[in-house]
Amino acid sequence: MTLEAIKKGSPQDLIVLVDTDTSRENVMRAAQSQGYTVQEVTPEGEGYRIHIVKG
Amino acid sequence: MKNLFASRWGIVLVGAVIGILAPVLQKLGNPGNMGICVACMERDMAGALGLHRAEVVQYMRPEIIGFVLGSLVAAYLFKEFRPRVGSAPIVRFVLGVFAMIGALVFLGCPWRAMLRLAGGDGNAILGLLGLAFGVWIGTLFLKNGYTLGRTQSTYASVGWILPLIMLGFLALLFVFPHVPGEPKSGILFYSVKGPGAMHAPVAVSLAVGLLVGFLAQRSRFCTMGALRDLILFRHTHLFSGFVSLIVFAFLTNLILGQFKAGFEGQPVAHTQHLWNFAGMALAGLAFALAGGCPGRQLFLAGEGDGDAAVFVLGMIVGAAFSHNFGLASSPQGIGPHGIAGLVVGFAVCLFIGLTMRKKTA
Repeated sequence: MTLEAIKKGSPQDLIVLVDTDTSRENVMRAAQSQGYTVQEVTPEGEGYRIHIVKG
Repeated sequence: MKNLFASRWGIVLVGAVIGILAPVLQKLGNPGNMGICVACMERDMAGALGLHRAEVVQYMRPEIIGFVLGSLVAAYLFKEFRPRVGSAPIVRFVLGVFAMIGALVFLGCPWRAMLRLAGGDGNAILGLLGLAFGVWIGTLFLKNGYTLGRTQSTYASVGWILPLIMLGFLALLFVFPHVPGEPKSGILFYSVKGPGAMHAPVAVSLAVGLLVGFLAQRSRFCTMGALRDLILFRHTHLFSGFVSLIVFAFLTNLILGQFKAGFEGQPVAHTQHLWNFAGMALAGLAFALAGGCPGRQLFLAGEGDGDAAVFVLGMIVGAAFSHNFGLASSPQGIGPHGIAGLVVGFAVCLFIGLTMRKKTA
C-alpha cells in the first residue's frame, strides 16, 4: 500500500500506520528503497506511525 | 532498540546458521536431507501422539518445540510478545491442513526443499519451482485485495496457549522417553524403523530448535515471504536469507560428506516430477494465503500470534489426515489418494483466495 501511494503520486511526505513490528521494518525498508528517508517512527495504538520524507 | 537481526546482514547470518546447523542435525541422526523439516517433523509429532498410525514416522520432534519456545524467549526479551488473534482462524486452520497435505505429496516443506537441494537432490528443483508457482498464485490473490482481516490484541494467556502446548509435548517426551526397540513408551508412539527412528539426541535437537527459533523471530525469517516479496515487489531482503541457507547448507554438506547429486535414490524422496511440483505448489499457495511459511507460523505463534498457532494445529491435523487417508507420498511416489488431496486442496485455496477479498476504494 505504501509502495502504491509512492508510485501513484510520488508524495513529498507520507504517514504510514502499521500494526506489527514486521510491517514497520518492511515499510521502512520499502520506503528507503524508493529513495525516501524515515523521519520518525512512533508507537501508535498497538502499532506504529511512520513518517517518511522524500529524498 | 535496534534489531540487528532484521538487517540485511542479520538475515544472511540467520540463514547461514540454519544452513549449517540443519546438516549437522542430520549428521547427528536426523533423516537424510531432513535436518530440519517443519512439515515432516510436525507429521512425526502427529504420529507420536497417535493421530496417525504410520509406523515409520512417529517421533516427538524437539526441533519444533524449540522453534516455538525460542521465539517466545526472543519476543519477551525484546518486548515483542504481542498476544493477538481473530483473523479468520478457522480459515487458517484449513489452510494449515492443505499446506501439510501439499507438502507431504512432495515429502517436505520449503525448508526441506532447500536442504534437499543443498544435499544434491535434483527432485527439489521441481519442488522449489512448484513452491514459487504456488506463491505466485498467492500474489495474484493478494494484488486483488485478498485478506483474512485484521487481528486483535487479546489476553497474554491466549498468546501463551501454543507455547504451553509445546511445553506439554516436551514434558511428554521426558516422562515417556524413547526406549530403543520399543514402539511405544507410555502414551507416546516411537518409530522402531524408518525416518521416525532417525533422530539426533533430544538435547541437541532442542538446543538447535531454540537457537533457530530465537534467531528466526528476530530476523522475521520466512521462506515463503522470500519468494512472495521477490515476486510481488522485487524485494530481496528475505530472499537473501533464503539463498544464504542454501549456500551454507551446501557447503556444510560438502564438508560432512552428505552431498550426493542426482534424482534417483535420494533419501525420503520420490522422482515424480509433476507431483513434486504440484505438491509444493499447493503448499506454497496455502502458505501465501496464510501469510507465512510453516517455520514462520511457529515463530509467530511463539510471539503470541494465536492465528498462527491455529495454522500450526491445522498442519498437525493435516498430517494425520494425510497418513490416514493415503494422501502422503512415499519414496515410491504419490499416495493412493494424493491426487484427490491436491485437487481438493487447490479448490479450497481458490475458494478462499477468491471470496475473501476487500474491494479496494
